Amino acid sequence: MQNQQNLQNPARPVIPTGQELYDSLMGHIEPDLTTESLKMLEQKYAGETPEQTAVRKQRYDLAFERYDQAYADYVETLHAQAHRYRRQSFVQAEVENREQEGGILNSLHQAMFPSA
Amino acid sequence: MMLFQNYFNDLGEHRLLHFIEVPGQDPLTKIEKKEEKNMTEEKKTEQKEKDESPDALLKHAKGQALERQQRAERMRMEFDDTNKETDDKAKRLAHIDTDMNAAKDATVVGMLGPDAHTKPDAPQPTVESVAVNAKAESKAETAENEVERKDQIAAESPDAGRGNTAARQVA
Repeated sequence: MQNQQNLQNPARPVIPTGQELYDSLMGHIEPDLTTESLKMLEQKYAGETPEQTAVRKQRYDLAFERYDQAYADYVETLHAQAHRYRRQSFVQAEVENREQEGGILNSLHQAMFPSA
Repeated sequence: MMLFQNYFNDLGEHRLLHFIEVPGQDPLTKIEKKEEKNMTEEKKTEQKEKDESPDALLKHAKGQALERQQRAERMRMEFDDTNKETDDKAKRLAHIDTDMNAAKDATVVGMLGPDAHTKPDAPQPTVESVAVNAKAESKAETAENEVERKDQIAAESPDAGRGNTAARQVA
């Protein structure tokens, strides 16, 4: 039933904007590096020692690496979604067409053989 | 060796000492190298300090974040285009099918004729019926010809009419 419903209304994949996607992924990895947090980073780490800064830098580098990996996974998922959407759209067009064709054939059949 | 070195020094050819490569024995070369080395190290230290400063880190992080956001935005636009293309193709596919249906309908209606919906199909002629019709037509034509011929003969010779009357009287 759910498959049939999906077949009838293939949902177009919703893709977030660049900033939304970045914030969404980075929010789970390193909240310091989201767009909003970056604006307040200077105040947040005002009295930091050079050693602490170095540690933070390492943390950020690792976070960007992890982000890149998560981003690659997301793009792969999007590719799969786009492929599924394409297939469903074509199947949907085919199904609608068959229904329409079936109606026409029925009316023709009834016109040719009214008693049947 | 000292004599060799002094010989060059006395001539003022200091530059040649660079090619001789006697480390630790030429004060001039040694001093120069040391200064260069010190300067490079100072620069490196300064650069390192600069790179590790909180400001530099913030700048680096912002740059990296912006680069990734732009990349994500480009990707989004590409996927949007792909999905739009899919929508267009699906629409075109539906139109093509509709056109095909219209063509099929026109063909079927044309084959059945304009009264297909109101009149029953006319009986198809068979070989036997055609032969019977042909024989009947031929007989009718022969009879017509015979009548015409007799009328013609009667019109051309009135005696023949009289002879017939006499023959009837004799009989």
